[in-house]
Amino acid sequence: MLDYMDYVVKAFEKQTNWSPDNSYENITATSRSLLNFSIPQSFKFQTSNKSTNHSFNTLELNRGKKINGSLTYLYTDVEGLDSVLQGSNEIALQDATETYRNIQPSFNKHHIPHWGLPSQNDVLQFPPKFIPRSLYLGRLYYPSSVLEAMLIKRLSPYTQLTVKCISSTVRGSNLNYWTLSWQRYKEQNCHEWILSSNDGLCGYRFLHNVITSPSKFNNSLYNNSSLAVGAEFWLSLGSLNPGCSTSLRYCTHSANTGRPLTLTFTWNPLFGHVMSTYSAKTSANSTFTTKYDFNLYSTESNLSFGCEFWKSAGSIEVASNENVINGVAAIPHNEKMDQELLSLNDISTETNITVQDESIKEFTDHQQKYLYDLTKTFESSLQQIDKERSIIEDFENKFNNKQFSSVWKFSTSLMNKNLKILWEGKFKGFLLSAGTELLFKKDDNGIQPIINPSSKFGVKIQYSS
Amino acid sequence: MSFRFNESLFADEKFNDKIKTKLTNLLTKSLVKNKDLSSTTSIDVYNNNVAGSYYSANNTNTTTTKTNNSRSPNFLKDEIKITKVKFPVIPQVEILDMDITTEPRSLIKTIGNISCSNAFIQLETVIESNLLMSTMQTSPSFITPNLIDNNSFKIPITMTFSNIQLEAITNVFMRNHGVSISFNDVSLDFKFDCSIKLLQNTIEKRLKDSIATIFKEVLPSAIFNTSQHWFNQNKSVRKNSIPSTKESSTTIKSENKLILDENDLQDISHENMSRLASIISSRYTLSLHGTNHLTSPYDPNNFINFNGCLERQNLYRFISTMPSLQNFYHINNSTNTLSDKDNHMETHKINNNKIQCTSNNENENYLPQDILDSGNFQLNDIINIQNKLFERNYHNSNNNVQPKRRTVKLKKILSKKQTKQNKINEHTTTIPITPKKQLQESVEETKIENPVAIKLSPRTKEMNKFVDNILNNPLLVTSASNTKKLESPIPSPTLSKSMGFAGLNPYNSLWGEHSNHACTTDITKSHIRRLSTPSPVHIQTPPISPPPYSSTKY
Amino acid sequence: MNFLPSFILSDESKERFTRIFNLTHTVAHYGWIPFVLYLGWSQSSNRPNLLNLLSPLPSV
Repeated sequence: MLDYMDYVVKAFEKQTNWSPDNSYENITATSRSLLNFSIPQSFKFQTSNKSTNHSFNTLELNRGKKINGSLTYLYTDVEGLDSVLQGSNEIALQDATETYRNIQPSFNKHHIPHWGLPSQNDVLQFPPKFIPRSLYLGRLYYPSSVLEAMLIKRLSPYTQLTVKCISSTVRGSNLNYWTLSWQRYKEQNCHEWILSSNDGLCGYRFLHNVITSPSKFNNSLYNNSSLAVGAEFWLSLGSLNPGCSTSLRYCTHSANTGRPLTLTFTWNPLFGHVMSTYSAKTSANSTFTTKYDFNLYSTESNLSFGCEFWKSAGSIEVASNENVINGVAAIPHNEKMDQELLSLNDISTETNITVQDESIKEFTDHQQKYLYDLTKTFESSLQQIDKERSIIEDFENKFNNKQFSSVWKFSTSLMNKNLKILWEGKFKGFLLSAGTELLFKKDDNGIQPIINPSSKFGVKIQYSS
Repeated sequence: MSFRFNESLFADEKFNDKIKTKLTNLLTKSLVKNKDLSSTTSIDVYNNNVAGSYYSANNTNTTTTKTNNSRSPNFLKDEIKITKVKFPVIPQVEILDMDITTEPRSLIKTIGNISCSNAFIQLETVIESNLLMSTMQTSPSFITPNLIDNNSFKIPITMTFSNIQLEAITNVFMRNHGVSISFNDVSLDFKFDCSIKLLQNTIEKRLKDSIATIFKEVLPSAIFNTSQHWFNQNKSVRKNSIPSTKESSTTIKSENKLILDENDLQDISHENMSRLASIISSRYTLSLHGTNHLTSPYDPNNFINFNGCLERQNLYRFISTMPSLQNFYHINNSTNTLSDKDNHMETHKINNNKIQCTSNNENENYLPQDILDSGNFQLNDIINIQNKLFERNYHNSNNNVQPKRRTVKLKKILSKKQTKQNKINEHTTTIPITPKKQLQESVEETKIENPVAIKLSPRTKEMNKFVDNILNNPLLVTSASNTKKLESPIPSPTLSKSMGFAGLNPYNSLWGEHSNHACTTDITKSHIRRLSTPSPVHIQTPPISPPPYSSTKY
Repeated sequence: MNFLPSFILSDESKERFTRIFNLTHTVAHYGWIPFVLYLGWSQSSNRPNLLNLLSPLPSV
């Protein structure tokens, strides 16, 4: 379950039109959220409040061995958050928890991200003046009085700067670190430079979205698949430890059923580690993923499985798609052009060319005839495209619009012989999550499951208004 | 104190296995402890991304220690296993000097030389090579970026230490509560081989750099702590097991045995023994009774209060041959009624745990009961023995030690000469002195006028006989000694003579160890009978020597 | 300040620098959250009172 502050930060990113899927960090986000989800430790209670449209705060209480907690304050000057953010009563469970990330490809090479405007469908309009937006977050812990501070600043339409800081004033404590992260997304590439004072860590990563003509990849005409390639290089200057990896991500939809699936492949050349994942949304209520790890040098291998089961309560309501944060990545495609094609399609059924759209009126007769011939030729293909697209979109809408009450997540790893169980749900206006981890140990009696002694069982209750 | 390494033990494979398991357990225990510590504070917390509990758990560390401790990468992923241990050449320990002092505190100081050559140790473990991952796991999750596919990569590693040569000069201080050892002039050389060639040079360099610290700090404190632990745990006779040390290749096997029995002599290193003998003989003295300024270890009153410390060798035998009345008559008299066992027990009582040899020594110088009964004693012998004992004790003394004598005073009834009472024995009785003739008759009839409590003896006859023998012995007149104290009247010298044996209460020997009280009645009688000896002779009584080890009341 | 070679700064100035640095650190540590609150308060059109801003509980 996302913390309220993480939810607000995600909303900020959406409002400033910054897509987190373009960052190399999230190239395996789907499999990570399905396999490596975090289980709450002991008992945690969070209550959050939106004081104004720009200020938010959270109080968190932990009951571990001792009672400890934190108080968080956030301020942002981006507009339109109130329409996006929802309290724990109204929030859709798909937004509150991390789940399958459905990534839409971008066909527009010169896609310019929008910012701060409530509606982002209008690409063709002249981009308005850029207003830099920022977000300030401060979190103070009790009893250790450690401060976590974060500042996110949109410096330009293409760049974002993130500064994170941990500070502690306890004498003799070395808990004073800062991390700078500068991201730049231009055209199809997103570059990131990261610098941290923790052991002098420096890193550079990039992700390249491959945009090709659709027909190269699969048989379906309506191609909604995307391919992304990226790499990262790390070096900790303090102790000279290197880190490196490169990965590939391919998202597509299955041809007949329109169900989305994601394939990733990662290779770590330093330690010879190869990781490949496959995630698929098998129905509107379930998702499956598998991960296979293999080490080239030590030939160790590990197979992991994860799945998600969503349970819905009550009737299915058709809700608006626009406010969904976790849903489809909002990279707009040329809807206007689609609309025109559709309208031309309709023309073919009638003998007369009737002008449906104003823009078509501008075409000359010759051009109109040419368009008519084209649509006639590709009529079946266009219909096919349309059909496929509608299948895919229907499926997405079905998931996004459904009212889910709870979700069960399971994750198991064959080498570690464990089973992680997490239940997340909405109950009477509260967001609840509870989970545990079971370890399977071989006894004389057979395989016995025991609860992991270090994590045991935890419950998290959240309330936000 | 001497020991040498048991050769067969080193050659035995089981010893190597034992060392292996012990070292493995020790290393694993410390490793597991570290792991537990770090896991509760940082690692598991990060895996579950709960920053709050990191801060709260870490708070207990930050106030006292720097968080650098939790940041140190925990790259040992598995237990350290010792796979091979070999000692082709037995380690040697040479004792160069030894100093035993008892006075301010019981302390043994030794300077020794440890040498070990050509030892071999091999260990195996698993290390983590992805150090970036381990540092990231121990860092706060808020500021740590997420890396893709940064998983742990474990590498097994084998380290071989061969041709280990160790030479060190040690100072050992052994106290009542522990052993502290310090190493000087350490030279440790070894050949190091590692399965990962990249790390070989660095590990070797670091090990050689840290040798100095190991021998200066780590080993002495480890040995001190273990010895403290053992000494406090078990104060009676026990055998020490092999103390396991961290990286040194020598193990010292020491056995604490109290009594040097015959079978111990096999394990004695002759070299060490001869050295010890020469050291000890340089401080040799025959003084059995240490005075305070002598601080001799042979003074039982000042003896080393070591639990289980080895006594001067064969001391009991020496003591058993030293003449005292008991020994004399037991040696001479083979048909004594006391069993040999009892005798043995008493003489060996010196060798029990309580080194204070004061137990039961009050009876050392007493005539055995049966001897007295049978009357097989010779007064001359007794006198000689007592003289010798006294001379031994006091020949060195500057101050004139008076022989402690028991005086019996006769209360003056007719005679006007008053006598001062010398209270030597608190139970000294005063006997009224009656004029000669009257006494002769009267005393035989009269009873005791002395109010002092008198225990009537059933052995009147023997006593009379004894006193007769004593008083008739012309040899009573012996060496000159200070008789100032003898201001007692005429009868008393003689009686004192007879009574005044070293600590000797003839009545005690007559009755055994029970009565301290003298029966005066009959003495009076018999004594007074003898009062008719004409002239008061200043008879020098033999010097009374107190019994060697007893704290007598006289 | 250990990384600075001693010939660049004298001991006194190094000590002064360290003191100023620590003071700044403490000020930033305790002043960051009030700064965030101030920003939120100043930007809003109707200046809500402090309690509303601070309280994490749902506002009435």
